[in-house]
Amino acid sequence: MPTAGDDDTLREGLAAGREDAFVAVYDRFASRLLATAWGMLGSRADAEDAVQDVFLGLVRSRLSLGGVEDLRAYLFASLRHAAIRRRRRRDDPPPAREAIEASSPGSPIAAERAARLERALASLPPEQREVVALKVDGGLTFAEIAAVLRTSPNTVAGRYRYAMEKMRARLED
Amino acid sequence: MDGQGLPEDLVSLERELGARPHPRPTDALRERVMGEVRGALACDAARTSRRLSVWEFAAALAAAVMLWMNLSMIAASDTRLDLRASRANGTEASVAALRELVPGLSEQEARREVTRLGRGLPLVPTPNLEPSVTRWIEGRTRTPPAGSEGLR
Repeated sequence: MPTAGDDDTLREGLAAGREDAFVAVYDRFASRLLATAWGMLGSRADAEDAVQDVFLGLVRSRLSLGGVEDLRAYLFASLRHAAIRRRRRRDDPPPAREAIEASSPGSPIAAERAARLERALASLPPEQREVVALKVDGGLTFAEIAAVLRTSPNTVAGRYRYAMEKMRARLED
Repeated sequence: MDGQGLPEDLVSLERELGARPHPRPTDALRERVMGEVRGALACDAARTSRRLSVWEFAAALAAAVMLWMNLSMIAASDTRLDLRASRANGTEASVAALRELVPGLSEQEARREVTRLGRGLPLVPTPNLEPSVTRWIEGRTRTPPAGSEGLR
């Protein structure tokens, strides 16, 4: 479990423009960031581009990282902005969400269920979808999501609950 | 608050969503992102060094200008002293040359003419008197007659 001291060391490395610090941040956060971006955007290619945007943004703003208290929240906030930019750029309506195939082939029923889950997620408005992605795919707490979205944890919890209810209704159709 | 307050079916849906297959970062993505990061860092470093070299050039230029100004001031003050000296020597030489040309000219008169010439003023025409008359005039100038103090 990374400590605050690790974050300080990483921030110093990033501010100094040390490549090993960027590698360390990538190795620690890329998996969660990619999963969250995919949850928000529904496309692997877009999600990868969003992750790349996060790291390029990190290079550009590395000198102001001294004022960042929570590096993890900062990265997810940056990812959210990158995802919003990608969503605005791409064609409207958005392409159908891609279901990711499991590494071990599962049953056709499981695949069908995964596809239905993706469709239900795609039916959510972006502000609810991003909360679900940050919570379920990013593994953030409501307090952390509130910091990312600059809102209160109660608002986040309410939005999440509405989203889940909407998904359940969609899956029952 | 996490997970709290949700009915059982929503908690189970949440679990199902979390368990669905997620994309994993591939080596190609790592290489691509780190390549972009490396490029951006190199670009930044080049820009910083360019900015530094501009500042270095400006500092060197300022130092050169200040050195030149300093040397100029030293040279100017030295030159002024030399000019004073040469002007003093020149006056003596001019007085001597003038007296050589006009042997009857007194030293005082020659000095006065040289001073006027030095200031760009025209020469004052002086009569070419006999030496005896000149001596007489000089004698009168140096020793004023008795009782003349009251006239001053």
